[in-house]
Amino acid sequence: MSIDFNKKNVLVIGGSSGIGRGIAESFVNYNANVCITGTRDSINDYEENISKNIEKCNYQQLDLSNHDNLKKIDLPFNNLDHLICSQGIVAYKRKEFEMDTFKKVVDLNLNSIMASCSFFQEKLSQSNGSIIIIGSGASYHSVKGNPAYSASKGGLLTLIKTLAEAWAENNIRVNGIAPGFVATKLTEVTYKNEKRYEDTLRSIPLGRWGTPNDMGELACFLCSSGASYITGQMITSDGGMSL
Amino acid sequence: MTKYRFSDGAAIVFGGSGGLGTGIVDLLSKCGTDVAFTYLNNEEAAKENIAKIESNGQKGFASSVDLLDVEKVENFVESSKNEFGRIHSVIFATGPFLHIMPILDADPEDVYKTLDTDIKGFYHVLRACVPVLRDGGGGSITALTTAAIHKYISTDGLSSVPKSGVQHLCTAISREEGHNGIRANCVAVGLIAVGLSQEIDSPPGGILDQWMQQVPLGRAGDPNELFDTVVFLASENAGYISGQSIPVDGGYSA
Repeated sequence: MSIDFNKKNVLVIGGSSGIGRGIAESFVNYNANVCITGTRDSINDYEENISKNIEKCNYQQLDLSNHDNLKKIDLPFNNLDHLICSQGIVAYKRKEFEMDTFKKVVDLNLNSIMASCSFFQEKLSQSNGSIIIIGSGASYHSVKGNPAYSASKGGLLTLIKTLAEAWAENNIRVNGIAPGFVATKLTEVTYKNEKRYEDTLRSIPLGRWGTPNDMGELACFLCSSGASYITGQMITSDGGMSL
Repeated sequence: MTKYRFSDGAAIVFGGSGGLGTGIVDLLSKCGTDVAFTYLNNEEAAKENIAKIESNGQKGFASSVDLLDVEKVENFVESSKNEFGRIHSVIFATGPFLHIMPILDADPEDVYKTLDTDIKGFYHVLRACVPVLRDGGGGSITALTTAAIHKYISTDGLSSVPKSGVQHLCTAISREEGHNGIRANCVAVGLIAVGLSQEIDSPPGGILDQWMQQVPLGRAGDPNELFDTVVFLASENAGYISGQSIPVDGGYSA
């Protein structure tokens, strides 16, 4: 007995790096066919080492600053069972207080996720599939320097609930994951600064940062048959930090 | 590879002979872990459970324990530890008979009894188990509560009020014992087709019908859909999740 996605097809948007990449690795562990996307031309253009699992993934270049680019994805499979929306950006140094940047961040973090879910709704419905959207602790609380990031992640919380209710009749479950600190490109400014990193550890009851694999295990559970009565939920995985 | 990973040792299930507890005990043992569990009166069901655990290739251990007697709870936990060497997971799956009525219409004695069974009972479990989990280098606590905590169900106060206390005890343990490697989470149970829901006396158009109308998935949950979430949260697969309450409710609380 095991979680098994044998013959199941999974698309991880933003699976080229960070949390998305960890989720893709976990799905490969559980025997899924996985397609990942990233904004760069090739998976070789990313700094991370290419693991055996990532080697097994089909890579598609996808830049969602233009939502029409969804039409260009050439999926390596006909059916789609699970869609993971892990795309996201953040702008530091108070850039998100400028409207151009605010709009750009919200457009990618929130609008492009709605566009992606809508684009694949029919395929997911045909397979009684499910969607996982990557939110954040910022889905629930303020992030002083990042109004666009927190507003967009907050928007995802009710997007998940609404799509879950609206698409239940299409047999699509919609859930989210709100990760705490996970070492990725997006959180480099924190974990590469020793003092900041130590400060974060003090705020986490379990005393460690999360790993992309922690998030992958949760994503795989939420997509598995064991979670077939869970929909509309954003599950926090943060070592207890937000309590 | 088993479905959910556990380290060496055993799980303890409080309320392991009820409609939901039985399924949790079964799934835990199928995942390759030994299981100790308590029951209140149903010795027959307890024996059947032990047989099931053994047929899954694991060892079982059971005892009748009144959770309101803290000494008995501590003795049971101590015996379980002696039997299996280490306890890695604790699951709280007990639930009193549910009285469905506006909270102010309830007999105060019923209110006090429910508060006792849930909050005092769970507090005793924590007092007995947390030191044992600490000694073993950490572990998990998973409590069954109700989806009514997330979105109130009219006339369900006698269930959701005490269970809110259980949830907050989990929050306290997550925050205060996390550095000892202890996680604590809740599964907020929605309309599941056996166990607690079956014990609710609801006429047509009553609470169950009203509840069902608000479930986006449009059906009651199968008990197996609940067991997986409980065992997942207890397992190492959920090693970074702590202090959370996960509704298994078909989207009711969304």
